[in-house]
Amino acid sequence: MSDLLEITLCEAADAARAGQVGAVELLEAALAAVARHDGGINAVIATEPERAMAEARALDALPADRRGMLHGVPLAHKDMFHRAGEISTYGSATRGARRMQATAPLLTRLDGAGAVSFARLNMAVFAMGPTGHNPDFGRCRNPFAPARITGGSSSGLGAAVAARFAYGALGSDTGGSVRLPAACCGVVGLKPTQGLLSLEGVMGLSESLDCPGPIARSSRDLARMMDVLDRPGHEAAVAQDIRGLRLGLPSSYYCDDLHPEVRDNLDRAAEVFRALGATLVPVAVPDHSAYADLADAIWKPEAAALHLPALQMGPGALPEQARARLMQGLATSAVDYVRARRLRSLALQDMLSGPLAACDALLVPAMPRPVPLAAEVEAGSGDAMRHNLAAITAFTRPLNFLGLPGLVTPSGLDRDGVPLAIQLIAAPRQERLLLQLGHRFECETGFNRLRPDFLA
Amino acid sequence: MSGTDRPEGGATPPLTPAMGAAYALAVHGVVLSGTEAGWFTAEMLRGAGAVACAADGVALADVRMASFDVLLQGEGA
Repeated sequence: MSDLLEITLCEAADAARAGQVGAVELLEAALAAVARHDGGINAVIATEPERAMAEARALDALPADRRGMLHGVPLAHKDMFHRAGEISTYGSATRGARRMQATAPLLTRLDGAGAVSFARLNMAVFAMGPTGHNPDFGRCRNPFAPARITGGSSSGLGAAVAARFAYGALGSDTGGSVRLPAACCGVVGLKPTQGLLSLEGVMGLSESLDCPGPIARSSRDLARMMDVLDRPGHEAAVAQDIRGLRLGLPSSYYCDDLHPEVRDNLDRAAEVFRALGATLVPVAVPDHSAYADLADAIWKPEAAALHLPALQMGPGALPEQARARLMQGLATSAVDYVRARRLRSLALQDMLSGPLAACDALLVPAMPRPVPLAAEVEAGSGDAMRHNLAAITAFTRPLNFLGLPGLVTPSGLDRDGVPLAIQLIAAPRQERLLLQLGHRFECETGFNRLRPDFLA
Repeated sequence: MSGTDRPEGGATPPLTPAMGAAYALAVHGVVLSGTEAGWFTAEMLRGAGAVACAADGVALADVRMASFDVLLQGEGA
């Protein structure tokens, strides 16, 4: 096969299962791509070539009838998923060479399906930050435009999958951390329903809002991963027709104060779905403007409790922005934490009985503005930091508060050639529907197959 | 309510940065710089105001936190 890293995850797995390409061959291609291009991108914290190569050789020796759904596919993950005997930095140099005692069950599932997890990817320190900045391991750069942010906190995932270092990756999403890197880097990301995927063996930030989720180059690839991470049925569902499905266009919040390029892009995406046979319906959405603050009242005290020893050590133990955000957790009273948790139940009920009863899924932009320059959003503390974070996460954080699943898929390029993306939102445990919609959109538009210029 | 609500200039906050710093040290064992104390105290007031605004007029007494997880189990295949 001429260009191994251009084919999709599903194509690579199917070719490897059929013996048309070897797991070692795929891994060598992935390692070579990292060596060739990561100097300019900084998506990878470390590779694990010896263990990965041993796994690939063992996979190549397997008889055809024992080959799994992800046979031989090189994957790379946010550096917060534990693997026994290996380091997990959580994006912080302060953790040193501490080795993990056990492997995260999600990685065990991927291993069991034949995936070869070969690299640990860059991320915001302790997963706190939606931009891709990291003072310890360096800023991750957007493969489409190095001066722009990658999104975060799973910054390395969006960059590595877009740069064709890996066919897919596993990250976590507490306020948009899977969906934002996917949106900024022109790939596809899924935040599943809260609680669907195991958090065991995964760095904790907020046990109420943390949500593992995959990134890949297509919804079909994500569906294959979800068949392994959750249960079978996702890939079979993507082939289904979307004619007659009702796609809701919110009449408030998600359409307020949109950048003109984002608004035009959303309108064009809606027309694509209409042409594919979906019925577009305007829907009233409860006011989501308070959800960012309510989510803050939940995740920040939970995170501050985890990181209290580092806060007590004083400035320098944590990056400035992480310390500033954790301090907000110390400032939240237990009474407000409980009230926010109770309001969360009512908010979800309102969504289920309102907009998500009136349509099958909502269509919104992934972000209200085009991907910002890294220099625009690097403020470490204070009100400037809050404004920056709010502008980036305005359309992603509500889903973490609500626990709902969301899929982000590319919807074109802005006038500077940087990816734009839409987000599809559905009721709990409707991941298959989201992947079905994403797959049809991608097949029709091909935006998920756009490549960064350096790969041309 | 928005993510930018905070006490405006001219209003006298009921909590001063020095009081916020004393709270952080006494309750959490965290020493704050002068700048951090200002931020911490403003956030304490802003965050509490945001939750109070969202909860205003809402009957929360009969709502259980666990009902959220029950709702998440109610859909899908």
